[in-house]
Amino acid sequence: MTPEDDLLADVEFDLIDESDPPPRDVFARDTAIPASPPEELAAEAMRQTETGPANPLEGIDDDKLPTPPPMRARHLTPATLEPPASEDLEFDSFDAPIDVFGDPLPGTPTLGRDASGRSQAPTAPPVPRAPPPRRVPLEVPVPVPVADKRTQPTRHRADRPAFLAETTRNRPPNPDILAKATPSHRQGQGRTPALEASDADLDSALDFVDSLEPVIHSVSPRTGRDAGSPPPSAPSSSVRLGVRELEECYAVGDYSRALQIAEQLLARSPDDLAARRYAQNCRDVLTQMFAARIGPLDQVISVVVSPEEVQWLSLDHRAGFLLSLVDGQSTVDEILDISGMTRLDALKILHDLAEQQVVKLA
Amino acid sequence: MGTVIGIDLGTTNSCVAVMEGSAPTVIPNRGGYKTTPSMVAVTEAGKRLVGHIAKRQAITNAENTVYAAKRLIGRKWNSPQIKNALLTSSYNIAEGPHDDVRIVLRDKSYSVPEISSMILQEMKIIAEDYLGQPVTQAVVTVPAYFNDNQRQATKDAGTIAGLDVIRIINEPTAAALAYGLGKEIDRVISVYDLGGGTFDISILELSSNGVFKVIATTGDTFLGGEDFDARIVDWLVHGFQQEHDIDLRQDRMALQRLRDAAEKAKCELSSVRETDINLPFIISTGRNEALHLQRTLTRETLEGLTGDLIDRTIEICRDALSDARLEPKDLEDVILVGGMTRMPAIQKAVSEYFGRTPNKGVHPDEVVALGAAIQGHALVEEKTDMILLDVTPHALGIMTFGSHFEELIPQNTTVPTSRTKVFTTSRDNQTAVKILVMQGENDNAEKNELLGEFILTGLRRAAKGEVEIEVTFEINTDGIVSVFAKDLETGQAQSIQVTATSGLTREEVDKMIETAKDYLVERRVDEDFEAAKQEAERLIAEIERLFPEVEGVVGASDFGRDALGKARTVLDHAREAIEARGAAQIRQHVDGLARTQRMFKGVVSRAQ
Repeated sequence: MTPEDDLLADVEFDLIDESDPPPRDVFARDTAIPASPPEELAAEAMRQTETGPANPLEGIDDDKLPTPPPMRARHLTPATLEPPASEDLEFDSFDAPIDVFGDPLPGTPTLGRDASGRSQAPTAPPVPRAPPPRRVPLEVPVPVPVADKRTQPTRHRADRPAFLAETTRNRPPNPDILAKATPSHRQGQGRTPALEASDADLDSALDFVDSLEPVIHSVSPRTGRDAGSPPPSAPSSSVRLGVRELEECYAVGDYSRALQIAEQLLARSPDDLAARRYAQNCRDVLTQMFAARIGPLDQVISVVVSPEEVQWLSLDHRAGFLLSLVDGQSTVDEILDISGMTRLDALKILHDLAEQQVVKLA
Repeated sequence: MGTVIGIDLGTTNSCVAVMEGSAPTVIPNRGGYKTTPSMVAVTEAGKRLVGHIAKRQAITNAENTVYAAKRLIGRKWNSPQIKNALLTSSYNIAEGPHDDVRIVLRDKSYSVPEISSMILQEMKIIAEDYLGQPVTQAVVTVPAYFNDNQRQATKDAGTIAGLDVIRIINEPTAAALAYGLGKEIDRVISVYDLGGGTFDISILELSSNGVFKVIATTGDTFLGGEDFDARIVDWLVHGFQQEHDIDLRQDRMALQRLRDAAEKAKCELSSVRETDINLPFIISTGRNEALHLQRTLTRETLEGLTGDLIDRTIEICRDALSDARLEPKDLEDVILVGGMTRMPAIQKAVSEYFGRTPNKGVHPDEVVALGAAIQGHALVEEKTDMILLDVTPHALGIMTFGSHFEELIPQNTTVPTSRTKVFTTSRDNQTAVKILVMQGENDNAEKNELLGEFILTGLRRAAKGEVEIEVTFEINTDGIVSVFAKDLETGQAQSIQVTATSGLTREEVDKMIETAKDYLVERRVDEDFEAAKQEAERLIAEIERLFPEVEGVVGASDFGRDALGKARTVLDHAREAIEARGAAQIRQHVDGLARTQRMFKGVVSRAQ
């Protein structure tokens, strides 16, 4: 008898009823892209064996291919130099930031294109980027001021240590963008030229949005016009841009941004059914996403930083409120119930707090 | 005979106790607290919240959170208390179909006994979880001033919650019982009860024969711990406004945190001289920054902020003693009830006024529930020396000429009882008399509660005072009051039977009982699932922890790989059962998980 047999001598192997279905391959994972049927894969393998690997450019006329931009001479870097940090190579966009309606953001220099069509935008980020996300080193004491701590304002977000670097998705909406999306009569300010659209335009503009579901023929309460009938005038270009960006964001799965745009469109035109549907869909998807990231909602949630450390975090009052509800006994679900916020907002804040290692899910 | 629980159904907090052996014990809830806030809320998702969890969202979800339902129970829609509540309550109060009161939460209407039943049901569940057996009987306490309708409504609330309320007893009486007072000694005591929302002072005459007479009871239904909290909140808000020019009251989240912090600080100051109130990120300024609130509250400051409230309670005590025609020195004991009485300044004020150190041997938060548990135990065990006699909580009588209240059955009369009195006509040639049956102690009949009315006709035409009418009040053992009026000359008679009503019909109560049962079943199913899930998850985690080690020991052989594959399947099946949320399914897999865990432990221990 081998030592292994000895170890297994008293092991019970009747764990599964023989009538049970065969065990699943536990390593198999569902993938987002469905795999090709096995027979197709086999046929493709046979074809490649006979003809060699398929040329991806086969069938394309070289003359019809667009002329590539002139190659720039690459600056060779001596091998002894350290390679650039990966974060230095990350760029969101080389183009000037624009709002949802395609207008440049206020205060942003207008960057044109040169004669060769290349962007005049700098080839490196114009401002130093925030450091990459890093975990709060709990063992390292967070500085606590000895001086008068009474009702101290928190430091400005940029001045505080970044416990969670902002990404495109979790970045708060740009107040300028929001300001632009708000109708001028609500702000009491003059209208931006880009937003010089008539009310009729606003009503009709977002009829173009609806690519999710069939157009609902409804009578707009503001104009009495059948939403399915031809609009009296074309939507403004800025709104069209916003709609297009909304569709694109939704299509690529950037639901945070899509929701932000949909809400801005709704702020301009509250009766817009399509924008409302987009907003609702985005909220549903985001709620599910954050819930999935957090895990089971019946987990007990507890604060893992000391009260002294809490005040040096980068939080807003809503996160502060949610944090005050976390007592180490309540579950995530209970916190959501008593938060008084929408489920999405509360889940997002809890998720961010967990990411920052401020709270722990047991 | 099952266990009887004693429930102190308070305005702001409730407490449940049971006799364990010869000693009463307060049962803690799941959070470990011995009292549970008497609050009920319905969330946006339609979920019912009761107790602490409801309290924690009371301000952010104010319109759907019911607090102090006790102030409304058994009241008529047109009563002054309801008119007051309409002005002060954050939740919606509506008129019910029987001149009663309904509370609207998320578009659904609830009767007040139904809301109270949710709290009683919570107390029942707490007791059942603790005792591990179903509980069906309870003694519930009510304030001494509650009339028959309010008592009946409380009883109905118990019935809806699935409890047979075998006795309703007065709160001061229960407190006296918990102190063991009244045993073989006759004495006069006062019970100073400052709770979360109400203040009551009662003067009791205890007798060894089991009758605890309420000589006088008075109070303020809008004076309690919440007012003390509100003063602290005001202080914090004012200080913050001075410093930052921001009114924290405008933000519900900030206000919720302020209330919670104020209550916590107040409780702490009963044992320490100062406490820090630290509320980080209390409010955002709108300039991408949030402000913290940090202040230190001392006991002296608190006493300065709330001194007038304490003085008010003493004034009310003075009125109560005056009603009882007694002096403070006539009292042989003073009992403190209610969490607020732990505040040193209150104890000092009470000691000074009554001229004696108050009796505070029993926890003031728990003393009423303990007394109720003692009485419940005595009732089922038939310990006659401990059983209180059922008495009429208020005097019964009729209204006579000039809105005068003529008392037939005095307050604290033991039931069953019967009293008769002869009246005459008040006008010449009067052929009919209207008998208005009333309850209360006020000489002005209009200030007492109208229980019912009827007309006796066919009287002989005669000068006023000549025709004699005999009126008889009778209360049977079930507390049902019958009133008979008889023309002594002609023998013509008329009668009415007055039954206390909660404002609900029998059918309504039955329907509510079914709804409450359904809720209980649903909740138990959820709890069952949670318990099974936790057990399964514990085993899964343990197996997963051991897996790599076991794999290292036996994974090389076909035999071992087969075993590991089977173990994986057991884990997968258990996870699927958890996903499917079936408690029974999970339990089926718990055995397999336990065996796998044993096997893995065996392999690991032998390998070492």
